[in-house]
Amino acid sequence: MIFLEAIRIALGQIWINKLRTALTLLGMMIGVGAVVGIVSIGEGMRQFVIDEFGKLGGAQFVMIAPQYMQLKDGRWVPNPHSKPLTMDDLAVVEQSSDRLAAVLPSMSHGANLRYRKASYQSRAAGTLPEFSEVYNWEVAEGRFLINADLDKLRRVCVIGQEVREELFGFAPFLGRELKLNGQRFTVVGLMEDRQTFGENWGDQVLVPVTTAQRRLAGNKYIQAMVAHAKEQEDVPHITEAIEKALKKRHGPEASYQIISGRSILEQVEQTILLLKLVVGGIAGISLLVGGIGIMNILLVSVAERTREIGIRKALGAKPVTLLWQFVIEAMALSLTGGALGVAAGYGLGEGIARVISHYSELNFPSIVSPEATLLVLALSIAIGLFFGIYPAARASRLDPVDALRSE
Amino acid sequence: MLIELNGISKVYVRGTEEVHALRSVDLAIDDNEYVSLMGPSGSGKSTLMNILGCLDSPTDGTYRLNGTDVSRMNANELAEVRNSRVGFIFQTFNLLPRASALQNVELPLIYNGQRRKVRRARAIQALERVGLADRMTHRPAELSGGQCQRVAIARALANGPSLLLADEPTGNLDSSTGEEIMLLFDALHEEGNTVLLVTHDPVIALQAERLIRIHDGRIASDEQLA
Repeated sequence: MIFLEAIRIALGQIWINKLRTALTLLGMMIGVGAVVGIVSIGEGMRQFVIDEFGKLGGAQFVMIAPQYMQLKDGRWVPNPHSKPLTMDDLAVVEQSSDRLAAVLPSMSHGANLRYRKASYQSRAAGTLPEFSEVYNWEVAEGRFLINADLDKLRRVCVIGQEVREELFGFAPFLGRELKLNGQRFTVVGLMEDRQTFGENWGDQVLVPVTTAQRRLAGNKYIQAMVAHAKEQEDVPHITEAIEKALKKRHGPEASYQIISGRSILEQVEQTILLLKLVVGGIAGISLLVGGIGIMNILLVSVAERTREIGIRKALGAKPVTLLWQFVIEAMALSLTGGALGVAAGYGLGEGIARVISHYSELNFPSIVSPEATLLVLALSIAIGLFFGIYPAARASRLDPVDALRSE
Repeated sequence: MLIELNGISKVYVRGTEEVHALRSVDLAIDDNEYVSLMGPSGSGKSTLMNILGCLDSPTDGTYRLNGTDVSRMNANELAEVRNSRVGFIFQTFNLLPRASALQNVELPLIYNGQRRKVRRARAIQALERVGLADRMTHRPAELSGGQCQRVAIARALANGPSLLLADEPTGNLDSSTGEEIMLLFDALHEEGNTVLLVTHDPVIALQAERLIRIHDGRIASDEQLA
């Protein structure tokens, strides 16, 4: 009963002093808004990285490349034990674990493309037929590379959307011959449109890895390979197995760069978490300022209402009742400010995400989870409680005789 | 016996100086008495009234109200006694300016933990008793001084107290309004209420049945009036 009355009085006070309340709320709102906005952007960033990573094969991939350079006495020097990778190494890696879904070579060469009068500076990637499935990147028209293309070192290619636009426009392209660094290649397929991390995949041509070795690189090496695990949990185990298999083949001193997507993702997550904590901490200081604002206004309120407090005491209000009355007033203020702040922070995060999306042409989200919202609201109430308790205690301890005598 | 004071003393410390506001006061007031307390300012009458109203505790001595020793009670217990046993009426009315007459009268009932329905009914009853049934939704600023004092009296009556304690109740009113208020006190006394008037106005003081004069923290005289 008395509790309800306290809430009614608190809301009444907040309503009576509208301007003062609004200014106090503004402080709280800015603090909460900043925290929510920043956390929502951080959360959006994390989600964005995870989503884009998913398109790259998720955290399930392990990249293997020769260790050309090594750090010695604080300087990068050529690694004498570095050995280039071959398709035979790829076969060895494939056999190293039964938890592998696929191992793809990675070869990229600058490619000057010509078709009739049109030319386009592209890059040619030498790869395997499994590529399309592993990256979940489908052919839009024609066909993808097949095993026969590799076996016969066929000069065929599958082109990206941008390559088609630049070279063929709206003209037919399937079965046409284009010139790739001066050599004739037949177009057999067109890939779907695709972007990750804002990078367009459509500016490349895909060729059989064997053809790329023979015709473009002129050697039997591959630049790197990417192994894909069946399950993300297998990644550490696979990483170990690959290293072991390669050392067995090339000797114990042979060293390779083995980087897993999982470790990259973990680093990214850690970086974002750190960012959220640091910037959120700075925003948290403004929350503190908001809380001090509430305390200030409550002290003013207690001073102004000393006589009222005296009257209430004379009529039988207990100290604890008055304590609650002012604490509830503080909590009502901080909760209202917090709720407005959540709304403002949501808007802020959404706005920043839109600006980023607009200028970077990425689909960048801002995420405010229900858990985060509840946490922030609970924090707001806690701030009200913390900063309200001192003014409230002051009110409750007033001597009724003195309070009644005050003007 | 409603009120029994035995050797009540009150000492304030003002700076390094001790002020003896009350010096060993003995006093007994029975149920349904009509008492005036008179004395010049600084005589200790305000202190005595505050102690009688449980707004303040004595430094020494015992105070029994309705047979209960209230002189050593803590703040919470004193609040309960003020709420249910004492009805205060102040010179300056001390109404909450932003609350309606009805809400003002409901206040002690809220602190008494009464349900909404009960307290509304009792507040209306109290306002009807003081003749303000048609002014219940008005705020103090919309009421005359006499009406404000009636609201304050209704508020004092709301919890059915043992003692009505009025501090210069006519001090802020013109003489005809003051007379009306005094007639109300007479009537409340007739109805069985115990009334204690604190005043420095002899005309007001003489309306009671018993007159106590206080001087220098001591009871100077205590006489029954005709």
